[in-house]
Amino acid sequence: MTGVPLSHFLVLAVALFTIGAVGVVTRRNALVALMSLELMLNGVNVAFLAFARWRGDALANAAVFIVMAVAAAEVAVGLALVIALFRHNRSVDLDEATRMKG
Amino acid sequence: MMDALTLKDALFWAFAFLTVGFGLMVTFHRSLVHAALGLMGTLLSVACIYGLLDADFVAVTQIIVYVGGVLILFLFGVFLTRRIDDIEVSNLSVNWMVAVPAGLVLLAVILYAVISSPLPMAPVDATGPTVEGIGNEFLSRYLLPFEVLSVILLAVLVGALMMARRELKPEERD
Repeated sequence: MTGVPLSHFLVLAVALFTIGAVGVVTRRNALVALMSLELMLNGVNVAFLAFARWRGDALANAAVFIVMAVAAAEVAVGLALVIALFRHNRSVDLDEATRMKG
Repeated sequence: MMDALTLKDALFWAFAFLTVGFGLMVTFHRSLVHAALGLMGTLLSVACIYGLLDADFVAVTQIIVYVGGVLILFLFGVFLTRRIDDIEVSNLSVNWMVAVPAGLVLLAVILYAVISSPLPMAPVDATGPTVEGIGNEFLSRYLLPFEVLSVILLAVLVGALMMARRELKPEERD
């Protein structure tokens, strides 16, 4: 049995989520924005697993597994988009990706 | 018994600080390669946190999928897209004077929610390996999400190939 209280794990999860959120909105580089998105997903997973440990059910573990698979899919598509963006613009700067602006 | 408890406490604090520190490196370091390395550190530390939470299967999956797959994809992305001569171009943070206070507000709001909600004090007794439980969930009640997940992965496989491939010029087409 772990001696660390549940709130510590939740605070860690919130910190990770917030760091990722700040990264998503401050970085102009699309790759770093994607990496920060991964941080946010990891924060959510930590909260999931902390609650799973305190409740003792396997469903949250399964949910985390699904989140991981979707995150991997999102990274594959996101990086394909970044490569395509780079091919068009010769840069992955999100501020320069204004082609679809009306 | 007390020694075991304090050891777990120490491990938790060590991995928590590593996680947050590497996370800050991802978000605030100017070099793309350093950000990717910070991401690796974060993912490994989070895997250790999973281990502390007795989630053995998820911890191993985290290392295989994230560190072994996603991170390599990121490194490929970094090396495929950056220009060699200006390593730190287009990685400057903008509008951080707004974003960091907004992030702090977000942190405060969620922390308030965590603090003010009634949390269970003690975890349930250790239940042993989690693989069996996960397998039971996926192959009985949650079979449909599991199968939808495989369809998503197939769609992503095809879609990522479609988007990332070089467009052929008309004379190159057969």
